[in-house]
Amino acid sequence: MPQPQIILGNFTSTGVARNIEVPFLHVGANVRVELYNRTNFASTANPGVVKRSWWQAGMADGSWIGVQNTNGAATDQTTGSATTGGFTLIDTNQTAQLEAALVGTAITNANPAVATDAGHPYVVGDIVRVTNSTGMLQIAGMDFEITAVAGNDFTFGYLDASGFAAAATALTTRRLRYDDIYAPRKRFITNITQAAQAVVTLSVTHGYAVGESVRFAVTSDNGMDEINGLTGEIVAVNTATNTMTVDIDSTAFTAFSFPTSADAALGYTQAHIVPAGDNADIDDPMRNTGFAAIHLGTSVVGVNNDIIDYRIELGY
Amino acid sequence: MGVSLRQSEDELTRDMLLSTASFINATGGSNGDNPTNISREDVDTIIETLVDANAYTVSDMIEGADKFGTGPVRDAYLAFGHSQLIRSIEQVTGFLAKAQYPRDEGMRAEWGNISNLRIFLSSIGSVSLNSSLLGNDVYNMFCTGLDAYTVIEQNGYSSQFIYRPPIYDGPLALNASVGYKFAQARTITNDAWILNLRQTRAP
Repeated sequence: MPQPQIILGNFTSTGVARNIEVPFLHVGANVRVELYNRTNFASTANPGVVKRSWWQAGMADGSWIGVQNTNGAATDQTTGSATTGGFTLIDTNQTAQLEAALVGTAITNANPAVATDAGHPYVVGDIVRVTNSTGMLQIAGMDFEITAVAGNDFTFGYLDASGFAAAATALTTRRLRYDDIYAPRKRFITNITQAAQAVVTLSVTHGYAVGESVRFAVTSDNGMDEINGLTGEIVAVNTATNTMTVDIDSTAFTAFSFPTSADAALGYTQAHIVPAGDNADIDDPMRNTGFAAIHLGTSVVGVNNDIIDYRIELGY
Repeated sequence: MGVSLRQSEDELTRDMLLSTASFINATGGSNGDNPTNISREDVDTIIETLVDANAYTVSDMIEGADKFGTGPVRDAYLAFGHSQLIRSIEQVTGFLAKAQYPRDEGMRAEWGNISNLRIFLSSIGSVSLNSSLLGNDVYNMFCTGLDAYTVIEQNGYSSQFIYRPPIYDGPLALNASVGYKFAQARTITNDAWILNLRQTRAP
């Protein structure tokens, strides 16, 4: 009988959920994962730190069993189980890209747009797909990256909705477990400036680099259809604003805009870019970023700068 | 195993096209969603866009014949979609089923054609779940001209079928294993010659 694999390793936590990629892992595999918080194993913090946690095949996604230090002392408080914030097996070949839907109550027509959904689990960096955005249907079907979270509100930092006629009065969001598999990826456009070198804002971290080329797909529904079909080389990238500057003179082009919500309901193709080549680095082809991994939730991943040791057993 | 290997190759190509190909949403249908279900207007838009980009058709025409119920087939681009689109596609004006081709030249996975588009459907066609305006599933139909994308076999690494006989398992030789591996890269060779016609299902 083939021997199970045992994989040992460690990482420094940033306090946010993360994946541990495991070769040959797949949905249905016999797998067990254990985490040990090396940094805070003897912590006397109050509340007590989760010092050890584990999960194995057959347990529900997101669940975990763990041992926590007593509040204010480095002794075992309890060995309990929980149903959220734990471990989930993700295989991009088999696991659905989208999580379950959440229904929110509003999106502001502001810059940037802020959505509201009581009890949402989202954190900065999450990507969500928006649908049923009542009153703001021009963004329905698009993906947005969350750049800030405050209570029940989360911000679509790369969407300037101040030109929209009205706020959304409802929305449905589904978090993406993983991005589209091949990179560089097509991305939704949220703005294009009128400039000698157009500056393009994308709704999700675009991942492009200087020297790469992109081709534009922009219909008259988004105003600036003069750029439709043009290919531009990226001459600058700004990661803070998630923009790229391309060598296309859009000075005389129609201003970029979104259709009205009513017009969007009749059907339109959202503005987007697609990869169109690489002028600077020819050893950068389309990359398969698919993976199989154990996803670690916020309940088990430790806090910022914790060193977490892990042991993964993978059978057949 | 051979079927599985080729299907895996198709799935990887599917995923690559989903991630990187430009798209057009169907807007001519009647189901009130965005994208709508496919209509003749959407097919014409795809064909006009590919022709404007000077994309070569993939298949040659099939001349009409003296057979009742059949019709000629134009030079065509190819479209690859999900089998759940059968009902939607067959409702489109001008749809000609493979059984109505004047000669038996339809390919096995082919369902039929509309204008200059020959349509292939499969249960592993691309679907983006819950992604339409109304939260319905969006079906990605990749419409391609000749040589729009390619698969590159890694140099010196042809696919391998690997069989491990039971003698390698243990002292009682109880278990055997079979598998395959291959090394390929994929890329779009002309992004103007491939379009993703995104659509939802007809009511």
